Amino acid sequence: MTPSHPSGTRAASRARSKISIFAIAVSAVVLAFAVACGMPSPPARHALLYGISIYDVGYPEGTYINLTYTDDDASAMASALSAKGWTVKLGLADTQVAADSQDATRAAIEADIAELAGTDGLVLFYYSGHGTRDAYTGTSYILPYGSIATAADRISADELRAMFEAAGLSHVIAILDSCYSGGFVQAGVTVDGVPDIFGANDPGGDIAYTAFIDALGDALEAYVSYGADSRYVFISAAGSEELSWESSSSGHGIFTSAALNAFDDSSADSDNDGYVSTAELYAYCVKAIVASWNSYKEDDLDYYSDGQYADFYPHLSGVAREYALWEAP
Amino acid sequence: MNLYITRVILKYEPMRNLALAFASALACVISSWAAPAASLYAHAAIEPGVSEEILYSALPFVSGSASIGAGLGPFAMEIGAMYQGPSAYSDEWYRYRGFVALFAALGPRIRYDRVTAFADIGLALARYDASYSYFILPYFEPGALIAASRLDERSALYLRASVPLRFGADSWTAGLRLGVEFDYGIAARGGESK
Repeated sequence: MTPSHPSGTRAASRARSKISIFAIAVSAVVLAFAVACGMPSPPARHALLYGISIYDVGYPEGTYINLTYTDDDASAMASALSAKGWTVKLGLADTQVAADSQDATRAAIEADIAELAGTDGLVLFYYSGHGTRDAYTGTSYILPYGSIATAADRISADELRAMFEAAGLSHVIAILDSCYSGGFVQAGVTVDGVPDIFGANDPGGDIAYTAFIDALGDALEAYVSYGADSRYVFISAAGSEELSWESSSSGHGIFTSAALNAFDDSSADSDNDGYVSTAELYAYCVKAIVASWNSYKEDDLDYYSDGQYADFYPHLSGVAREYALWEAP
Repeated sequence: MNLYITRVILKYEPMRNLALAFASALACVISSWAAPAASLYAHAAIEPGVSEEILYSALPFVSGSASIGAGLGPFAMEIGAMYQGPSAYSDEWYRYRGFVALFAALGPRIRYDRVTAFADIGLALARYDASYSYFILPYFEPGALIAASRLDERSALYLRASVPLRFGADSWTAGLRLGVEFDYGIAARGGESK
């Protein structure tokens, strides 16, 4: 005769069975989700890249109002993106600006964006050149070739977004390596902890929230006052009141130099999913700028600005989406 | 919501003070030893779900969370932390960003035999991966607890299933949150805990 189990043992056995069945069900559901997470084949990817080093053809690069490496920035980004499968269109205003039919003017940029109308794939807009900010309205602008002489040819954030909207583009990434470019970046439903003028010695100070919970009030305000901001993803080299810099040691803008390194550095894919996303690129550039520039420049007074120091910090839009840019090396 | 109140009370007061106030309230509940059917609980769960931004596609994600809470009579409140991983990629190669969040919730719990139904309302303060972008996610979470094992006089294990619905200002998520809850009764009650 088989002895009966004590009731406690039977209860424990039933409990174990319940928990096991529950655990199996949970695992099955998670596995099903994991299977659904495979990477789709690449969509159509178009990149428009503009680099303006020459604003006044009467002067060589790096003198008067002309920049030195911004044309090289756009060219290098175009090569790197092309190697990763992007279809690229490059507009330069460099020493050959007259011969190149001024393909980095506002009109050229507008026409290039309009040409992409109907594209349902991914569009990347890259700009390296001067930027400016209207101190009265707080509006930031990028300055295509010709726009220093003709202010109406500057492009504001609203105007750039309107160009994308007019072309019916839904999936746009804009990367701007220019001064005051943070004015193009909308926090959306979020509150951005990176101040507009970043720096230990600057008015904005360091990252705004030292404790996670300190962001609660501002985040609540952002939630209740949210008014359907732009759906495009913008990455700016600097804040809306900051300068962005270029360096002879890299031969590029500080931000763009970091971005170019991300193409060949597997650590840019921080979540190890095999792809570098917009947020990962942003984080990679931040890390590089903090290490290679800000750590040396936070005490350097910037004589071009109104008492700011030369450190700066990139900004990223607060939209919920991020885009895969390229396969990690 | 009154924006003035939001600005004055929630923006300019250090937020950690509010967190302390909430923790104090939780401690008050915990310290109510004489109250009937008071309990403490700890909960860990994983949550497969879908997220969707307005005008874009719904995409699957998986998140994990842990919380501690206290029940007092027919009500419970909890605080916890969660991490929601990035979603799967869409055909256009976008996905929804992952984030880490702290949350607090409050709601009724109604027990019927071995099943306890609950419906929490909560608020999560989240920060996206890789940036300093903070945002708010209010949520509603109906669910149920099923008694799985009574460990001793005071403690028991429950299986917990719920359907959290999170309402971002520009997106929403819905998930199936599945987990285990350890419950410790701190006041005498008849029959099984909860």
